[in-house]
Formats: sequence, C-alpha cells, structure tokens
Amino acid sequence: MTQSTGSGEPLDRSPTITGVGMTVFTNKDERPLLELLTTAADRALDDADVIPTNIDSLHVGNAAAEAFNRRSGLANALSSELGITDITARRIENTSASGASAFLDAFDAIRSGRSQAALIIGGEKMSAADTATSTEIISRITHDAEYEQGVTLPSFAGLAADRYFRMYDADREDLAHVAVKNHDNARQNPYAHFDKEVTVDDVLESPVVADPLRLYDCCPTGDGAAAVLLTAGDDGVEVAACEGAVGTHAVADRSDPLKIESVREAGNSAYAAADVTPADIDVACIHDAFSILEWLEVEELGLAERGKAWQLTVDGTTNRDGSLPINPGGGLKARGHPLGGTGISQIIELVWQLRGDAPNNRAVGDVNCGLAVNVAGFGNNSVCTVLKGETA
Amino acid sequence: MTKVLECSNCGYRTFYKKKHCLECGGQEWNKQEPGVGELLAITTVHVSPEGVREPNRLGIARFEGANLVAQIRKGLNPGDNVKLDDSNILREGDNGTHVGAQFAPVDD
Ligand SMILES: [Zn+2]
Repeated sequence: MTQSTGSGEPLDRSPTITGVGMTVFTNKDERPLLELLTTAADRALDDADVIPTNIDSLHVGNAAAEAFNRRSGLANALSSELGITDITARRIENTSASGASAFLDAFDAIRSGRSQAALIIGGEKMSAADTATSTEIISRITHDAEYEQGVTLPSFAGLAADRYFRMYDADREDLAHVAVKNHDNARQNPYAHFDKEVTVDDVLESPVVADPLRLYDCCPTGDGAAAVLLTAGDDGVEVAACEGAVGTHAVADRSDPLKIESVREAGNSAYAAADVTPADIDVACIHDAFSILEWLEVEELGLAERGKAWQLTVDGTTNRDGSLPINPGGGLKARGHPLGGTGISQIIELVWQLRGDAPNNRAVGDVNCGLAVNVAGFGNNSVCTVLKGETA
Repeated sequence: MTKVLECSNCGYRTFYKKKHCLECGGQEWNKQEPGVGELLAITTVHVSPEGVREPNRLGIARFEGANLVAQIRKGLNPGDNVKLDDSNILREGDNGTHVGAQFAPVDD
C-alpha cells in the first residue's frame, strides 16, 4: 500500500467497506473541526483494524470550512493530524453532497487501481457561525437570479410541498408522518442529533418556515463527522455502485417543481451499475433535508410511483418494521445534517444494517441491498450509492 | 426588464442566464417577451437571509417553455395567470438594492 502516485491495475470486482466510524451529530460540538474529522477517522480505522500509514489515499468531504471555520487547505491539515505523508489527499466540495462526492472520488480511486485503501472523511462544524451567517452561506448556492429574489432552500421545499398537495391526495397531516417516523428512528440511534419523540400535532403546531412547511419539516444543521475505509480487498460490505449526476442549477429550469432529475439520473445509473432494480432495494437512506424531499426522491428513485410515495409513509411501509424501511438512522431530519458529514453517515447506517451491527431496536431485519442518495442544494447534484451485504 | 432567453440555434428557453444552452451548447440567445404565465405553486417564507423582506411570498410560474421563481403579490393563487412586473425592490444584497420582476395579476 505504497502507491502514492498510483499505477495499479483496474479492479475487477467491487470495492468493499471494511471500517466505519462517526461522531455524534449535534447542535454544537465544542471540539474544533479538525478534531471532529480525526475522531471519526480514528473510529473508522479502528473498526477496520488499520493504521493511518497503511492508507493510500485521503478524500475529505466538506462544504464550507472557509466560511464556517476560517479554515483553508483542509485535506492537508487533516493529513498532518493523522500523521500521513506521501499519499494523495484532497478535499471534495459539493455543498450538502460533499460527503458522498468524496466517497465517489474514493470509489473511482479504488476501481482504477490507483488506491488500495482509501479513507473518506466527511464533516462540518456549522455551529461556529450564527444562524444568520449560516442561512446566508447556504443561500449562496443559488443562481444569481434566485439570490435576487431572496430564495432559500426551504423556499424551494415550500413550493414543492404546496404543489404536491395540490397534485396528489396527500395532505399536510400525511407529510407530518415523515418527521414523526424519522424522529422515532433517531431515538434508537445514539449518534443522532435528536433524541426526542415528536407527534403529528408537534409538527403541525411548530412555527411556519416556508408555508406549508414548518420547523419540524426541516433538518437541523450542526456539527459532526463521519468516516469510511474503502478497500480493494474482497471482505467487507460490497459497494456495488456509486454514481453521480448533475441537474440544473436554477430549480425553475426543471420541467416541473416536483421533479429532481439529478436524483433520477444518479439512481438509474447506480441501478444499472449494480445490476439491481428498485425492487431489490431492502433499505434506503434518503436525503430528507425537508420532509417533502423524502417523497420526491423515493419517487425519482422508482421506489414508489410518482404521486404515491406518501402512501408508503402513511401505511407504515417505510417504518423500521415495514417492507421498505426509509432512513432507519433518523435521516437528515433527525440524525442531523452537518453538510459534509451527511453522505458518509448515510453509508455508515447502511453498513451497520447490512453487517447486522444496528442494535436490535433499530435493525430493519433481513437486508441484503441498501441504497443511499445524497443531494447537493435542492437537487443541483446527486450521488447514489448501492451497497450489498458482506461478501466474505 | 426580465426577458426569456431563447437559444437562437435550438429554441430552448430559460429565465436563468447561462453561457451555453443546455440542449445544444449554443451561445447565442435572443431575448423574448415572457408573456403570460400560470402560477404553479406558492409559499410564504418566514426565515430568509438578511436584506430580504419578511415574510417573503414566492411563487413558481410556467411560461411558454420556461419556468421562473419570483416574489408574488398578495392574493395570487396557484392556477392564476400572471405577468412579470418589473421595477420592484426585491432585496438588499450584493451590489446594493436589487430591483427586478415580481409576479402580478395580468389585469393589474
Ligand atoms: Zn440550444
């Protein structure tokens, strides 16, 4: 494992995940960003029983350390903390999909033969900025013409929810069940931001953020990091596919406010690469930055027909004990959303479920194939990953 | 004035300025009058960046071949026909005060 510049043969099988680790996602973690990232990294390396000097490449997912933490050159600072030299190391930025994008970068490095052991670390420390600054940083991902109108990500979600309710039979109360479910899942997850049961009434009585969406329809931002060790070996959880697709920058350039073409494209590419169909997916981690996104993405991924995802929530299909559990770790809604950490935390949840490491009260039963989708902005750019159970 | 940008090669239309057409890659755009659109969805936003009106009422409307998200006048609802009314103060932000288009009733 010494190929610092890389000249190996392309891999003729799927890369595997042999170690995972994360910090508790929380409103405010007193530790500096670098310490959060190294803590997650050490946990993943411990899990894989590998030391830092045995990795070939470092892939860091982070959205905005310059803005939140006044930290530039993150990958180099992190390499130094981990005592790593001579290998390739880089930071990948793709707003809220920075985590899965770093994973995709590592996936390609392993498949090409350039790296035999790739450490992916995603994280963000958002509490260092006040809410106004955070809102401003995040709103900066919009097109100039959207910025001018004062548009935010919750604005797009509010428009989508309004249209969904007008087009289909779902109503405001049905949507509340997404938050209720994901909070209930997070309560069983010691790494989750929230440990709080919420009821439909709690959701419906919370403050309006972007009508018809309320506070409890929106994920919290916060601090946290997550790491995964991806290898060219043949034991561990198989990464059958990791595919990305960019969508339009301006949300209104899409054919309809309910369509997120980047999720559909990334999903279809991932299904094809993994040689699976939506029917093969046993469990999924969906990018529910807003409750309505869980439905829209489930539909784009072909896990439900268009206009029907809400029924899977209402009839319990997507509960932990349903036939298609969605966001068993709590989702962005309740596990939390420290931007660069999120995509990796989704993959970790799938690894725990596939290895049978999820505690009994959160295990979703007999699962062999899991899907994660991590989305930048309001569908600007999506990365879809398909994992299969341990091949050993 | 807010115009629709129409690709002079393939006719693709957008309200969102970009160098290349996403259908054909062309770089020549003709500016067209947007005409009348149909409001598809609305929202009233209570948490916005500094410099934005509170609450910020927004809508998305479908015009011939292109959609647009913009601030709306009170009283408009999905299904209503709308036109673009320029010269409204939209927000304080980069480059000072932004003035631009809001959705207004067609008979306004
Ligand atoms: Zn064109």
